[in-house]
Amino acid sequence: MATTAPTYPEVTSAGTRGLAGWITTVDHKRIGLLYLFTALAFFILGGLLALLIRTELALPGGQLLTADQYARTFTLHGTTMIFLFVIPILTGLGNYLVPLQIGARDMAFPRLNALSYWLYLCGGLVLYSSYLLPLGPAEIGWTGYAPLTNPTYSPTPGVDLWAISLIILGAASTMGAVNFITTTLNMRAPGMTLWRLPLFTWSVLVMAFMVLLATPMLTGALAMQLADRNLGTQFFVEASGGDPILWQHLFWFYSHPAVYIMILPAMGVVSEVLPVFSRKPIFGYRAIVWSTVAIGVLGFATWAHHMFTTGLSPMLEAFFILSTMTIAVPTGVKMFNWIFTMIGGSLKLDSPLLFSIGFLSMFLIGGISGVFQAILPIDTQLHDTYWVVGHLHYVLFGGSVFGIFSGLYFWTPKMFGWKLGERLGKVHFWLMFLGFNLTFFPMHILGLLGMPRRYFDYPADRGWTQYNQISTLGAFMIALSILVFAVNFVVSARRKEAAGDDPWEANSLEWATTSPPPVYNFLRIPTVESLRPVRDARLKLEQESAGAD
Amino acid sequence: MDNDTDLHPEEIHLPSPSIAPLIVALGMTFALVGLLSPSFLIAGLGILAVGIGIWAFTSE
Repeated sequence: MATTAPTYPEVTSAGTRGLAGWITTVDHKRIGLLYLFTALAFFILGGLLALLIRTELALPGGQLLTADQYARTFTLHGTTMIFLFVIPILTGLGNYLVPLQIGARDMAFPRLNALSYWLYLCGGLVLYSSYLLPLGPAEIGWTGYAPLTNPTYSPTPGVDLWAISLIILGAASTMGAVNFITTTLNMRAPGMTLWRLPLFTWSVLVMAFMVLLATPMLTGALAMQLADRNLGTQFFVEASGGDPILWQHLFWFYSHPAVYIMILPAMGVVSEVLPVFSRKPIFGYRAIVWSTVAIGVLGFATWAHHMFTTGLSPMLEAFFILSTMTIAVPTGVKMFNWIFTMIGGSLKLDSPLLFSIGFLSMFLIGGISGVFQAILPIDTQLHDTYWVVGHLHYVLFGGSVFGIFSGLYFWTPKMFGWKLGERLGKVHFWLMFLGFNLTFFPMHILGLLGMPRRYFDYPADRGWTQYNQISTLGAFMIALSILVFAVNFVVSARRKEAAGDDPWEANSLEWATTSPPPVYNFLRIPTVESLRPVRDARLKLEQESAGAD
Repeated sequence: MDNDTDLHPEEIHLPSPSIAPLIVALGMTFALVGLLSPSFLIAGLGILAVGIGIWAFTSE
């Protein structure tokens, strides 16, 4: 490591300052931050919609929303959280971190990277512009099943805007995936072999391949849906020889891999955080990499488990039961690796580790309830009940969102040069952890009691009311926890207490540069000689200092 | 990690800022929404052409 003051290089093509600088930026770090802040804004919007849903369901009878308004609300809630929050915020983290972690100065295609972000923002605005239509937004759920999307049942052009917005978001994702793959494979620093890639970068690489393979299927299906609605085609109209079930196959061929697109980068975050806060190397690095690849491959062989009640052939049912159970194996391998990383470690229970432990425990519950649903007779009973809502939130909120917050607490010092407050971070974690379980665990019981999903009202005599009230209470606790996070961010940003370049004594290359990094990332491109280059350089420096003494 | 072998850093060339990605994104969005309204389609294709022009004729 350099011990003398460095001479700073001449930088050609310096960035523009102010608002114009943000609008015209092609710097991966700024684009990453734009993704993060935009996705958090959509998270707040989607969360407000969730509060409307939970307030409506707190008591039997209409409270706040009509049936139509309720259907619009849950449609936009689901679409927002998946397509405008979870996937983009993980893309934002990837944007910020992948070039830094591999020792590159930027992404391979900086302008394409900016185009991805602007398309993402435009896609979100198109979706929400449907509130301006006289008939309002789509009322089709985030799955948009045929024949509900047929103009006979859904006359609002909100359905068209929903489909167009998803096509735009798909284009943004695809461009981002091309960029991640090219950057990771071609722009690594000298010595950064694939077997020295940080696990977060590995997870983003596999996620990008999944996006590249799966997204065209959804885009094609959406184009067919638009053609059915506007050009008189009959792809999904049974009476004319079309097949509504075809939509489900095409949709889930994208949307089941999308679950892994949303969870793999969060797993990558956890794989970075656990060794740093356990003061140990990650247990079974190569096993985690191979498990990530296995999940990426098997993720394409499980889509029809969402369709067990549509009348698949017994052979197909058997195949998808088996493939769904099989994908639990690499996930289980990772789970053991993470646990063994912590066992025997010197755990530092700061906010990043708390959220990672939250991920492990909640995602485990979501994974196990998923294995229940892989069993066809059980799935037949639970299909379209509140059990499924509970399960998917344990995977996508308990998994992805806890992983996202772990990453935000972990990398905030790198992005801004200051840490988020630890005390408020812990308050945020415990409020969210408790609120999350209060909200979503009772949904499993409601599902077992037979409460269907997507109904805006329910009879008072079914014994569902108290579980719904607990769930609503939990939802407001989650909202409070997000408020605490926002306050923490503002207070910490005002204090600006310098965190230093490597405040956690971490392992990977992003911690080798300043916090926040300069526009060129590294004064000199480092040469990598191990899996934990920053930790090794730190130890070498300490040994040299001890020797000099 | 070895990054202290040369303390005389090279000149670093970074890509120039560009408005083209934003304009292309707006053009693509308007053109796609234009599937529902021809006026949006025409406006979108026009904006897209301008964006592609800026993209193509300004150096990185």
